Amino acid sequence: MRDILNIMRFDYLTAKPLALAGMIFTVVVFGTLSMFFSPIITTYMTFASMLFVIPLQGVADKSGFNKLYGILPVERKNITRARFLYIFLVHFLTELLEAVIICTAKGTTLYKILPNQNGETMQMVKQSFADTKLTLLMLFGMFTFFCLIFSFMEMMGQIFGRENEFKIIMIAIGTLSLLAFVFTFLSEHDLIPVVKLPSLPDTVSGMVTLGIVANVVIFVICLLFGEITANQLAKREL
Amino acid sequence: MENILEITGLCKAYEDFALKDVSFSLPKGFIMGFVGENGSGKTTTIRAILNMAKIDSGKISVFGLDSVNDTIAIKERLGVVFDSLYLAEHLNIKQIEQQLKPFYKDWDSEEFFSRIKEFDLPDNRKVGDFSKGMKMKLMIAIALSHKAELIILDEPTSGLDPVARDELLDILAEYIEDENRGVLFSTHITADVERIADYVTILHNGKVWYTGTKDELTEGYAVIKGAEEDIPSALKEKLIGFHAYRNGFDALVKTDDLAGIPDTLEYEKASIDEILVYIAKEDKHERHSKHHEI
Repeated sequence: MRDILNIMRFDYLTAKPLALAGMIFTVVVFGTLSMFFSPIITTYMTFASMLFVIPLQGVADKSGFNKLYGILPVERKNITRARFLYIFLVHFLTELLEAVIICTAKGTTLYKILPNQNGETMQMVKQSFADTKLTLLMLFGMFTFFCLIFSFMEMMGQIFGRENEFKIIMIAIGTLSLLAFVFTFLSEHDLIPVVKLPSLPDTVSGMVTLGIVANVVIFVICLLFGEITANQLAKREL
Repeated sequence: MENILEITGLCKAYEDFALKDVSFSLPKGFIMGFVGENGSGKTTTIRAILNMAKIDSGKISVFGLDSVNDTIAIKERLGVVFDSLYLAEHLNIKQIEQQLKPFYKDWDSEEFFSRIKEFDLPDNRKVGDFSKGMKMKLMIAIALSHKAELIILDEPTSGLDPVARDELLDILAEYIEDENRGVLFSTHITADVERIADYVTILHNGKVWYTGTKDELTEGYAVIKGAEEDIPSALKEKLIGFHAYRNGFDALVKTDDLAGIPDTLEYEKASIDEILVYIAKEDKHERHSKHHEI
């Protein structure tokens, strides 16, 4: 475990000088906007978490980290596992930060100091502050989507090579779209029974529970992707 | 003498290259020059020591530990200097120190920064902007800061100016004053080996051509010159890298084989560089190349 934490710290320190300014800018801009206009705006901060993930592979390739990984007293599989936990942690911490800003925005109700409180736009703003469920849905949805995409891309990139990463993502999206199309077509023509998707919770507490479940599931998926990748890479030479 | 590094029967085959039965050992307290032409297998051997390359057969023991099963314990006590930097180029020395520190139990920050000062390295500049000599010194400082007992250098002097090369050799000479340490120094610049190495291993086409002390190597071979017709027939077969010119020939020969040669043939002690050149010539002439060991 110490190895994994050290590598995660190593990755963070690698990305920090490249990402921190962008992250602070994003937090200040989206944080401020969300305080006045809509807590949902906070969830766009999830985009900024990619600043801490995307540069890593470029730096690793440019700086010959393969050699470094070969000389560090760390088990090779742990280097790979750590990268997936790092991706999860970056998204999870962003999600927590967003949750804190959302709570602050809802608690401070700064939108009340804006002019023209009875205007149509302000009614939308008020509605947005009142709709906690939608804000939470966006919060957990963004976390789930981005964390899943980045860990999947990391797995594909490490196993099949960065140069093939885009191709593989496109194939994956194409396959999923095709399956969705076939499934919908067959359902609409009564060729297969219609499957009803479970509806979203009606209450805020239900939505929070759903969010916690989503976090746990994504954590398990990251562990799984990490393990699959580590096992694949262990067969190769550094 | 206790060996700090011991390689026995190392074999590793790639599609177009193979290490064949590589065996040599480095006793504690000495520097070994690991030489051979480009592509002779030096880097592959080093990668095998570091468990970066999977070996087909053989055994590598570092500090008496197995290079595959005890790789983590070995790397705690091992310093490596590559021909290029392996650190994030956008970071400065302080940030690099923060990154590496937690990985080593024996990391000594004070030692690291005192080495940085001693080597005159700026701690606020990106390491990617360093000159090759500065990068090499940084890698040495890292190795020394976690109290490495064995330093492996893979072509550290290629591309370095003579001053930087000289500085590196001085650092290594100082490092080896502690007799519990060792240095494996891979290079094709044999002048460096002649200057600081106690032992030499010559790798040729993936095989060990020579391993032993440097003195035995340089005493053991000579370059012979003269008229081709003066070569005694018994000696002819023993010549290595025989090359005939319009006015004569030259070749490498074991000094043991020089007894009884005619006065018309001249010979002088061979340098390591000359030995490497004649080994390569021997291949070009497609003569049988024996496994030489003194």
